[in-house]
Amino acid sequence: MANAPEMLGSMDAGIERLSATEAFDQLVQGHKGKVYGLCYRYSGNHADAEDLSQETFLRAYRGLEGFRGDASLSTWVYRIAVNVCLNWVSSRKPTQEELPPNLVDEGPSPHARLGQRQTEAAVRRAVSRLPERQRMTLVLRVYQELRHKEIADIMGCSVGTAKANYFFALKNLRKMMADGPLQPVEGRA
Amino acid sequence: MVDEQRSQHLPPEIFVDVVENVPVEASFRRHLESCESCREQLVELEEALTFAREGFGYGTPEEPGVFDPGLRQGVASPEASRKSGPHPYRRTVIALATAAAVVLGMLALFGPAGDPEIDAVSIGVDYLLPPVERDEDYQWLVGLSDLTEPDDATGWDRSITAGSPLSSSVPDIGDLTPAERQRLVEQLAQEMRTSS
Repeated sequence: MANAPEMLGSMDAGIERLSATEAFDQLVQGHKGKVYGLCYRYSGNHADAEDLSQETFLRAYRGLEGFRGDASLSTWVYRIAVNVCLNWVSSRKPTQEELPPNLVDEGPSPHARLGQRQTEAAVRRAVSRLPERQRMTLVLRVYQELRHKEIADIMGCSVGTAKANYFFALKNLRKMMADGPLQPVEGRA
Repeated sequence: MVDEQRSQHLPPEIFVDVVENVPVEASFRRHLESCESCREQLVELEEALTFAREGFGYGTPEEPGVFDPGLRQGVASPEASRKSGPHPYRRTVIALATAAAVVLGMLALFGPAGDPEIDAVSIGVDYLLPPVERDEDYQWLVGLSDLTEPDDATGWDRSITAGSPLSSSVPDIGDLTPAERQRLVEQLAQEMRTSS
C-alpha cells in the first residue's frame, strides 16, 4: 500500500527529499486548478473560493501522513475540498445574493449578452439553493467533469446514490428555473 | 417482474444514463418509447443540464496565482508539521522504550529489589568488587578495608610476588651464608669454563 510520499512521488520522484514548504507547493501546484474550480463554483465567488482552497490544501498537507493510497491523490484532495465546502456552508448563514459582481461580458450582441447574463445569474442562484449534496454532485459532474464513480468515491457513497443525487439536482434546477422566483427546494441530499 | 417495475417509471440512475448517452438495457428503451411521462422527464433533464452548463459556461475560473504567504509559513510551522516526524508506529516504540527506561531507573533507585538499606552507591561497588561478606554496619567500608588493612587482617596476599609460580621454599641468593655464596660462585665459574 503506497503512502503519501510515494503517491506524491508519482508526480515527482524527488518529493521525499523536498522540504515541507516545497512538498506543499508540489501538492498545490498539481491540484490547485481543480480545487479552486470546485470551490469557486460551489461558493459562487472568488473570495470564498480562495479561502476554501487554502483551507483544503492546508488540511491536505496536514493529513498527508494519513493518506493510505486507497484512492488516487486527486480523489483524496477532492474529498477534502468537498468536506471543506460542505462544512463552510453549514457554518454560515444563507445569503440572498451570492453572485459575483462581474459576470462574463461576452456575446454576439448587447441583447444576447443581457439574456445570457440573466440566464447565468438565474442558474447560479438556483444552483446555490440546491440541497448541499445535490449541489456538490452537480458541480463535480457538470463543471469538474468527473465520472460518477469518481464522484461516488469523493462523496463516500455508491455510484447509484451519486447518480440519484445528480438526477434530483437537475430536476430541482429545472423546477426552479421554470418557477421563476427562486425558493429553497426540498429534496434528497 | 423486471418488466413490471420498468412498466412504472425509469429509476433516476437510468435517466442519467440516457441523458448522458450511456447504453441501457433494451427493456428501459422500450419503456421510454411507450411512457410519455418518462419522455417528458427526460426532456426536462436535458433542459436542466443545458441550463446548468450555461450557469458557469465561461470556462475555468481564473486560478489564484499565489496563495496567501501566511499559508506557506503556516505549513512550515511546528503545528502544521506536527505529523511530519517519525511514523506513528515508530513514535510509539520510542515512547514505550523511554517509559520502560524510566520505570527501570525508578525501580533501581527506589524499588523493592535488594537490601533496602543499601544505597545506590554501594550497589554499584558491589557489582565492581569481588563478592565479600558485608559487615552490616560497615558495608561501604568493606571494600576499602580489604585494600588497606594488613594481610593478616583480610587474609589476602597483597605482596608483589602474589601469584608468582616460584615456591616460597626456593632460597633467595640473599639468604645464603658467605661460605655457601663462595661455593656457589666457584661452581658457576667451573661450569662456565667447561661450557666454553
